[in-house]
Amino acid sequence: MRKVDGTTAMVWAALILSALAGGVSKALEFAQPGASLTRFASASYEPLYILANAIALYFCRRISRDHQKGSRMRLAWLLMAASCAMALVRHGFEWTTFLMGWHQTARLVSVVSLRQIPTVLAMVLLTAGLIAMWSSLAAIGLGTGFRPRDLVLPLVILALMAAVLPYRGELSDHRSVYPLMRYLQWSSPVVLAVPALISLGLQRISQEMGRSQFADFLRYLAWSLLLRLASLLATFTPVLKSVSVLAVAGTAAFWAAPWLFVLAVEQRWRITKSVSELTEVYVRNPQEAFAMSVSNPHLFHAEPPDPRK
Amino acid sequence: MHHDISEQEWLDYVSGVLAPARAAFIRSHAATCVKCARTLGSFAEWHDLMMQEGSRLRSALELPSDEMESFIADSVEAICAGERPGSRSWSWSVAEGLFFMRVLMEPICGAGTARASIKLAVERSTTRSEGGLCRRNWQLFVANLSEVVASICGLAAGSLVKHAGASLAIAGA
Repeated sequence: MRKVDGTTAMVWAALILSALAGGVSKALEFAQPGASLTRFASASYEPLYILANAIALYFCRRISRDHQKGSRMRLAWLLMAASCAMALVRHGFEWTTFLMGWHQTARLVSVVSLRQIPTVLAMVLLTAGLIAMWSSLAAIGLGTGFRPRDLVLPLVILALMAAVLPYRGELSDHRSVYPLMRYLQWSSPVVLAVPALISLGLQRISQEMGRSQFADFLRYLAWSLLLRLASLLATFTPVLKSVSVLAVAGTAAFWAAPWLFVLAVEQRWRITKSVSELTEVYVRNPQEAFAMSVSNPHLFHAEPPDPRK
Repeated sequence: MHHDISEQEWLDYVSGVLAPARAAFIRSHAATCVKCARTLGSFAEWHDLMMQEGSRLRSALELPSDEMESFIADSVEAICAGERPGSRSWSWSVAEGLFFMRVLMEPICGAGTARASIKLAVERSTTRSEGGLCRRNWQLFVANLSEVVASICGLAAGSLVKHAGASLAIAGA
């Protein structure tokens, strides 16, 4: 049975708890609409997003250092780190304005709507990071082939995006006094769909790679981006959000999505960690290294070293 | 190489990644040629052994560091307890070395990436005049492979490939 690393288990726990909390907050909206507890519960995803993005930022920074300066993969991780930092700014700003009570005042359509700037910037940076990652993988010949069935999921995403577009008026900042904020808000289904489309390419690459830690990372990454888009659809489309079960599930997915991203980057960080440990054994104990042992028959039946020594 | 079948082709055949037409040729040829049937048997045995160790390596990447050392020693013992086919010394043929690199990389970046990276590194390390990968250009190949792996999986993975590849004693010609 595969062992689950302690950090991975904690991230999974955070994901499940966030999803449950999201579901409960939405259920409260149905049970006690307008109550102050309900309002507080509905906005409580902000500190969770702040925590998730801070953890993701930490991993992205560390992973970027594992890539050569000037390489495309390093650029990809730096862009993703910048995206996490921008998401931190956005949720920090939103949570602060909520705690100051500005969401109940006219400031909601002025100062608060400025959150659209870091929101869109975070998605643009993430998209650029994904493109850099894809181009790095394509450089060794991965993800360049095309099969007709590869078109199916992108078409589904484009259809979902088309389904959300007519309801852009339902989004939070559509009444902003600043025209730019309104345009940025209206663009949000598109800026969510583009990384989701790229993530499908990465998911396809993960299949080409075969079973491995890196492929697991790409899969989690793709799922986190698809979940964000699906949750947007479930929470903002009037037809879907009127169905309580779908609204609860959509909110749960929205609360869980950043943790799936954390899970993805943590999976990638584990490659660096475990490979470094294995390399250390090669460097520290050449006697045990494969080839040197094979080239010397006297070492074949050497006793395994006592790890306590 | 004998009967126009290279070591790499034998390994690709037993790994199931050889082009169907070429695989069909090898299958029908091995059915009639005693020498090639014996070679195929040897490579198949070697392949199974490496696959077992690959699977152990996969689990080892989940192991805490204090268990890693005993795992490596166990792996060495397990591989070396079996008779390595086609070899008269304890050094590795180029094809065996390539196969080991592939097994080492698979748990990290997958079989597809390992194949693509090795192909690219071989292309970068060989010239037509040299006629392919050999002992002479093995270290260059390892350096190129390490660079390719590092570009995808990071410097740590590239370093592992470099150390493991450089420590293989590749037999001449």
